[in-house]
Amino acid sequence: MRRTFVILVRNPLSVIGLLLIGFVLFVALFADFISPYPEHAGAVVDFLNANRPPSAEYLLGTDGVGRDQLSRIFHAYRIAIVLGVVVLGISVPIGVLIGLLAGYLEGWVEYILMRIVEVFLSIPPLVLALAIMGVLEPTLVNGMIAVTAMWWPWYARLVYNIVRGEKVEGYVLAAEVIGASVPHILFREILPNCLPAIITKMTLDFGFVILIASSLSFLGLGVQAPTPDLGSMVADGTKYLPDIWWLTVFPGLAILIAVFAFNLVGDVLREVLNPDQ
Amino acid sequence: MTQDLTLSIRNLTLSFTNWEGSTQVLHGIDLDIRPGERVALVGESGSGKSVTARIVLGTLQELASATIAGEVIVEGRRMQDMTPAEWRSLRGTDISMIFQDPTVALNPVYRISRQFHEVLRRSQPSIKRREAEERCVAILADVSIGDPARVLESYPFQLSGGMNQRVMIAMALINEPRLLLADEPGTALDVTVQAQTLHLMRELVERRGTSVLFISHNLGVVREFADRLYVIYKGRIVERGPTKAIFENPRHPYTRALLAAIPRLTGSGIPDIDEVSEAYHEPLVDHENIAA
Amino acid sequence: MIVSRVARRLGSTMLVLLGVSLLIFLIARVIPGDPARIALGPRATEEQVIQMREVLHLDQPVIIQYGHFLTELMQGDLGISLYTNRPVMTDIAQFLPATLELVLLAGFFMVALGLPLGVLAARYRGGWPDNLIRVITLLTVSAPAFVWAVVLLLMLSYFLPLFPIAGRIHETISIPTVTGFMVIDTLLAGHWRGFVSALHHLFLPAFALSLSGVGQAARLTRSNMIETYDSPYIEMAQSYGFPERRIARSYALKPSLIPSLTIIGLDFAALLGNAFLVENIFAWPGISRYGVGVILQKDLNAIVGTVMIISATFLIANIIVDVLVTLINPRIRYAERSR
Repeated sequence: MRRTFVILVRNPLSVIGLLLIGFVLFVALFADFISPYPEHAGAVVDFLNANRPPSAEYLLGTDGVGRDQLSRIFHAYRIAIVLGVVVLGISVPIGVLIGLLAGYLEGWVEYILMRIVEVFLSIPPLVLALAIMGVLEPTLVNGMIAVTAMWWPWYARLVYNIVRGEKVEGYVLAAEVIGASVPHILFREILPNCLPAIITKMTLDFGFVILIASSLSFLGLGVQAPTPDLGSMVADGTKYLPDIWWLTVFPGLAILIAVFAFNLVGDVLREVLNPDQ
Repeated sequence: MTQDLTLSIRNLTLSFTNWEGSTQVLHGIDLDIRPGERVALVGESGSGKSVTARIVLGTLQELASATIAGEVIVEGRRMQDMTPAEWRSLRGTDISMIFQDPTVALNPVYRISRQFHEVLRRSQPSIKRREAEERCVAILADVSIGDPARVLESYPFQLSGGMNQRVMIAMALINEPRLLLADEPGTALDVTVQAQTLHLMRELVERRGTSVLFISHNLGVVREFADRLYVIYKGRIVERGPTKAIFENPRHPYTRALLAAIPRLTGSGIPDIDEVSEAYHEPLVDHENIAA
Repeated sequence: MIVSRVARRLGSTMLVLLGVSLLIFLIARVIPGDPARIALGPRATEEQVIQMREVLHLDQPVIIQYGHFLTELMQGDLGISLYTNRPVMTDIAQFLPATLELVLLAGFFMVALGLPLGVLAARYRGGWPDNLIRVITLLTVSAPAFVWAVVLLLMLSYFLPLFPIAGRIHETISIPTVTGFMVIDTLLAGHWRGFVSALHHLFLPAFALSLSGVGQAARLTRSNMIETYDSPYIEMAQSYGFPERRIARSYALKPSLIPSLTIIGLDFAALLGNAFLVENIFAWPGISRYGVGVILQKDLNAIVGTVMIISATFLIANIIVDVLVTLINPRIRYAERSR
């Protein structure tokens, strides 16, 4: 644990990543206080200042109805972070539990669970989320449901593969011999050995959840106006390319920064925690 | 004096550097092999015996984290005087190596014949297919492989461990090297197969006059094979001398502990000397008074 | 032996597709509200709705409904799109080729750029080429395809007018549709200038689509190469003094390609999904505009059909990759033969 921490703060890549994550979290948390125009996160209209290029007054310019882009991006980060926390907070426990059960219990439980996982994994991720959004109303909560539904199978498969390897290890056999209960073996003996892989994947995935969610809203199937969202900001801006370029470039850059930050840390973590992968 | 030796190592030190600091692995090793001599370097895992072989081979030098000092002389050529490329040209021609686990050391996606061909081209870059084939068949017959043609056409995973081991010995000897490095050969095989292949290897190198540096954790295995022994402990040579002399009269406490461990060590067990004694750090015991 | 392997893979793929159909059917049935009412719109009469319910088998139990759905599916009948009023199959046949064209070229970029980058990084492991490639590949996977599409469009179509802004072919050229693949149709028509124009139009969207996949492929190939480099047979090759370039090319690359190819096959799924994002920016007349359209219209038949076809395409791509892997891996090849 300590060693992991030392490496993370010594490797220049993860240091940059950690600083960027800190920045994104700070901005998301204090969006209302640090935004130059916090009220622009809502349905404000100021046609006098519409489509202003970046300037001292509006650092990243304004959109078609005169709202400050910087303030909207800050608030969009808040939604992105909430989305990441909720999606991973639900899909990881579900996926891990299913992976543990399928990997440890043999026979029909394993067969049925893994076939279900396989079915989910054989629908291209974004397409599955799109289909779910297709039958539900496009709202933030439904967006979370759609992304969660496409996310858990990956954890189920990851944990399943680890458990299959660990099941035959001495420490598991020893626990079985002394008559430990199945929950004890699953959660106390096997789960701790899956944690490094799970933590690494979660770090990387936090970025990817933000990426997928922005893709959904880019297609008009996520968070609805006037709530600021990075994906829908880019989508709205594409109509004004190339002249009003700041409407697409800055929100796009904002997505890149957030996802890149988690990828940097996750990539270093992967090297440290799973040296054999 | 060193002119006549096949291999001469003088005051070899090695340390690895990483972000935690540096770790000294070898603390000044001296080792000599005369032409045609079979020498064993024995110690437990982590004692520094395998890295010694890799320094002689020149592969460890390519690691940025390794710091190496001291002298390595093969056939009168000083490594320090040569470029890495020049030293590399000795590999596979004058120096060759046999690895611990034959089934993973041979490339899984190529046929044996192709791997032989590659080795042959080290000494004869323009060797003809026909000639290569003839030499392969001949050397495979030397390692007692009954149907060389079939073996040559196989992939390593289609052959047994013992068969792969013979193939590897054949590959190591086909270019008539002056020095053969053998890193725990056959440890991954079962005991009887290991004994057979070692016997075979001994016959072959004896006939060809090849010098051998045999690396092992198991004194029992080297007894039949080696003329002389070096016992290594934590990066230092603690005892050296003719095999017979050391087995009859082991004088260093660590050597005695290793000898006592032999019965437990048949097969591939990792030699753990249970209790670590201060006495293991006693100075070198030299059974021979050859000039060093 | 490859035939039997493909046959077995096809069998299990059919099973998975059956599962996909059940899943997608269930998703479509949890829709809040009456699908028939949604299909007809608020102005339809109650009579029309009842009639529609019969057509959609909504008056029968769910199991029977699924049975109807399956039998129609087997006959290649995906129903009528309520959005375009045409058979869903016809719609998909019209829009899918454009998307596949995009995805296939992107897949080619993924292999042609990703593998060499990964090999390069592994060879200079720890050195500056490795670190540079690491940062670049992390960047490419860190933005959704539509962001790259916007960036490339701004730089290479507007700022430097090197590539066309939208469309599949120059507007003055008209080519009869045969396969739906513009690149192939222009060749069939013997229209050389059209072929060049089609490729020219295809390049930028496909490149934008491929970027994150290129990053993935490079990173994966790097770690596979490094794993292979640590293996005893590479040490053996080095101990025999084989030239370093030769070791990289023929000793390390081939064994590392096997897992890389498998994962690249899986990444095909991401390409199919991300095609939605890129088509949008380049006004590419593929399955995306249709897909998003039917989703917004809650056109159930079309949603189900589109997902089924895309999943089937993905699974078929995986079978093809599996065959490729079998061809270069002697171990599997021989295991098959002795079977």
